[in-house]
Amino acid sequence: MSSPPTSHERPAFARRSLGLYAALLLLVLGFALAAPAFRSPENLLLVLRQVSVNGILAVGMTFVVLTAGIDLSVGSLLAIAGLASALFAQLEPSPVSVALALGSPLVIGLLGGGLNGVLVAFSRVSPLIVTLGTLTAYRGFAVWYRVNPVYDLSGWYRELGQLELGLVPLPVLVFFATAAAAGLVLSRTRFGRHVYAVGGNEAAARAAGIAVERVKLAAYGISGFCAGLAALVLTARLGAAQSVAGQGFELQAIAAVVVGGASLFGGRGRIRDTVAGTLLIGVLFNGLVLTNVPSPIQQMVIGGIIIGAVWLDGVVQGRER
Amino acid sequence: MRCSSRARAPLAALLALAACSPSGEAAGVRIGVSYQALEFPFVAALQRAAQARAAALGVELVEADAGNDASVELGNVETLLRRGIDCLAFEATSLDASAASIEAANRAGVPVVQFNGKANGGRSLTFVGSEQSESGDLLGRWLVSILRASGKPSLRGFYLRGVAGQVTDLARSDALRARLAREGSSDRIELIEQFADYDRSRGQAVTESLLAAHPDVDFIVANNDDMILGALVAVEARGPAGRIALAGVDGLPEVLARIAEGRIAASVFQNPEGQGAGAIQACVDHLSGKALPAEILIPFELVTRENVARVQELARRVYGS
Repeated sequence: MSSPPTSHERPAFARRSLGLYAALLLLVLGFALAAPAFRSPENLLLVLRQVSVNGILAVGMTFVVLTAGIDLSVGSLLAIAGLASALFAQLEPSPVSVALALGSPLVIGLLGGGLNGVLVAFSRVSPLIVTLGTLTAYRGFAVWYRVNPVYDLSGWYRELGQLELGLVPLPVLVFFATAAAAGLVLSRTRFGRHVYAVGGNEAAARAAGIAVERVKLAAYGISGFCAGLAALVLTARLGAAQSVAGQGFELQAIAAVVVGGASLFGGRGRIRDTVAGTLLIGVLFNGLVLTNVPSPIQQMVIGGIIIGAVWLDGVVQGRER
Repeated sequence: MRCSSRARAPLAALLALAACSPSGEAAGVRIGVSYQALEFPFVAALQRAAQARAAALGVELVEADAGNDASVELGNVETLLRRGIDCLAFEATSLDASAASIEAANRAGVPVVQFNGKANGGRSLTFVGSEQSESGDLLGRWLVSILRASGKPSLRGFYLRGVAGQVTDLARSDALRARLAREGSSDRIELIEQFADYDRSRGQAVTESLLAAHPDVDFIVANNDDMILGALVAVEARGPAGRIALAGVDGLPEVLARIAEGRIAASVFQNPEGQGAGAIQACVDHLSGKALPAEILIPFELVTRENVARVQELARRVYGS
């Protein structure tokens, strides 16, 4: 099923995306000239590996943002999911413990996201407040459940985090597979069209017979599921889980979505642009470290880029805003 | 003070009050304890030590968690004072903003013992804690010792800093550099610095990027253990550890285990038992009429493979599992 977004948005999309990809290309070329170490293929794979966690979160966040919502709880949910996964990964490897180590973070993510979705869809409390509340509550739960880090995980689990299929690290494959699946869902399914419709104009969507509550519930569920998946990738990569993990990740994910050009008012945004936004931030971080730029300056640059991207968006969109 | 003042949502620091039931014959004495942030394993270990000492002395504890937020801290302390306490054991969240809490206790005529993190302002009986500059000094000594042992004319490595502008981070960094200067090693030990926010995954990402540019470094030092654990994963992803010597600060059980295995070279152990139990003891001593010194300093200790077994025993006791 094909699903063109409302027709007048098309050209602006294309122009905006061009700006984003041009900026990404310029950044890559700039760092390649400035830092020889940046140029190595090994380092480019490293950038992909480093953005995989934020990328997976940003893909889930895109669904929520498209419905004109926000999910601030993903970092806290990631901490709970990571702890559960690591506790099972400490056990003697058996089919059951392997399944639990891999499956529990996804189930927890889905449940945590689903709770957000139920609260947003049915309580009429704004998504900002709901997920600010669960950001706090989920973090509290993680710390209450386990304040000390979980480490000494089974070998198979840690190897998973370092595994490369061909040349491509597994976390990167997971990120790209998630993005590809999400892109297909949004552009090729009825559910995807409904997500855009709910965010574009909720009243019109309701009038058209779309089950708005169910769409919202699903969007938050997907965001939570992605948080669980990101927890799995992060925990396997680090070989340990902590209740303080993921603090501030929600803001990085939102930044990637916004830099990718999605509108926080809903209805506008694409997965491939979110991926580009994630890469742009990842390239910045890696390049600035390689060129030995002090961290406070890095923060200023990345903050400036976020504002600049949205400003550029406004300029290109011109009269549509 | 081990913990960073990481950015977090204000709501994340909800008031958490818990009272231990009085036991033993000295019941009737009630001590209020304000912790900096119980989500950090080190602070949780302080709490465990304080509770154990209180149980041993038969005094009642009323505890509150400031969640690293000075305004929450003040609210907590006011609540404690209203409930009626004989002494306040106070772990400051902030160098300057925490003075308000101490002054509130002063106005209520309740004696104050500061521990672990120390605030400027107000009147307190004593400070039970460690001189943070000492940990940086010990890291500096360790660097000089590996330079001498290496027989090389100079060494080069990464220095992972905590949060830019944070007090503990500055104290450790200044003291490390002062030690290198005093030993005449400043230009023989080259430090490539980056901030990694006291965070494990950030420590991993920063180290990965730095290693891409400087694969041949001799050492990595970090201003806390979480960052050095992240660096260890990054180093081992490129080959067996050992060629690059790693050292952190805290002496978390996980790092002590790595030291015993020879994968991390050293850590500077900070003793939560001395501080947590010492604070309760100081309160009780004061209430029973003993005079207290202005400072009760708990020394740091450099842990290497030689002395790790003894420190591990102590760490197991205070950190629990």
